[in-house]
Amino acid sequence: MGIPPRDHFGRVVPHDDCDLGEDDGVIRNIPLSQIVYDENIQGRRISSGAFSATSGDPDNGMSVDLENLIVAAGKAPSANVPEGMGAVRLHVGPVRGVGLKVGSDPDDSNPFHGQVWGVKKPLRSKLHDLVVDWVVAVDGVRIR
Amino acid sequence: MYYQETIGGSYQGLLSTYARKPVTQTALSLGPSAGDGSAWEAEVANRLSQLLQLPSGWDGYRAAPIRPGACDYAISVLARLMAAGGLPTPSIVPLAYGAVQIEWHRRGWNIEVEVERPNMISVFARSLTSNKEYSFTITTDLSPLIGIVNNIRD
Repeated sequence: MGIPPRDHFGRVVPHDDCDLGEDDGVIRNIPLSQIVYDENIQGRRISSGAFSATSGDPDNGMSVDLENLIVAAGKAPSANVPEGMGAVRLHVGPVRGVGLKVGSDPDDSNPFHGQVWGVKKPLRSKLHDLVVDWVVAVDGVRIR
Repeated sequence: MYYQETIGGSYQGLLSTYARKPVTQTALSLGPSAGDGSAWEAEVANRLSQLLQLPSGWDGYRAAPIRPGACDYAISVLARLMAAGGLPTPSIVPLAYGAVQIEWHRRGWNIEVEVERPNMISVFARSLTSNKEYSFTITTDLSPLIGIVNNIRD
């Protein structure tokens, strides 16, 4: 993958990395604190709040790990998920399909870190709908 | 101080409970309430106390600590919503940028109330039967939110 563009402060600028293929995976951690009880399904599931951006306007960036980088480093996709958390996978193509950008944003503590940029509130539910499977499942918890 | 003056006694009681409540649970996801209408205050106080103790990076990435002002305002909003009865204790989840989200999923509705800071709430609701969605922002007038929440009261 290419080197991400940075501003004059050294911060990664939101970008869409063309080296990421449509079928490449992005992994989103799911802390247990973001699991809710849903009476409509009589069970527990992931909250849409799990797909909130960390940064506000204008970037609205949501942190992910880039699965292709993890696998290229010889690790399992679950290797970067903190102990005690779940994690889910989305595919880059459908994420781009709702108008978002996906690219790498490595830092000293996490070389696999990437971001999905443009995640405003109405898109959280759409990202939730785009989750394809668990990378680290949480017992008894549904994705949706 | 603003909320104590305008919301009244039940909020003051909950606020004092919330301020003093130690963390007693290890699980961080709320299940259904026991059905006792008076239990919600203790559950919410305990839950918010837990969320306020989340450190930076609590999501394994760059999540911000939860804002005390968001928690305070969440309490005041809940005091208004719960006053009419018929609601179980909601789920409350932390958001990566430091806000909290109050949620009910029942009676064919999904209702999510994002409390960003005092006087800043975003509401998203969907009726699963009609598939209609409602999305709006509130500053001080809670009546649109109360109207939505009335759909899920017992």
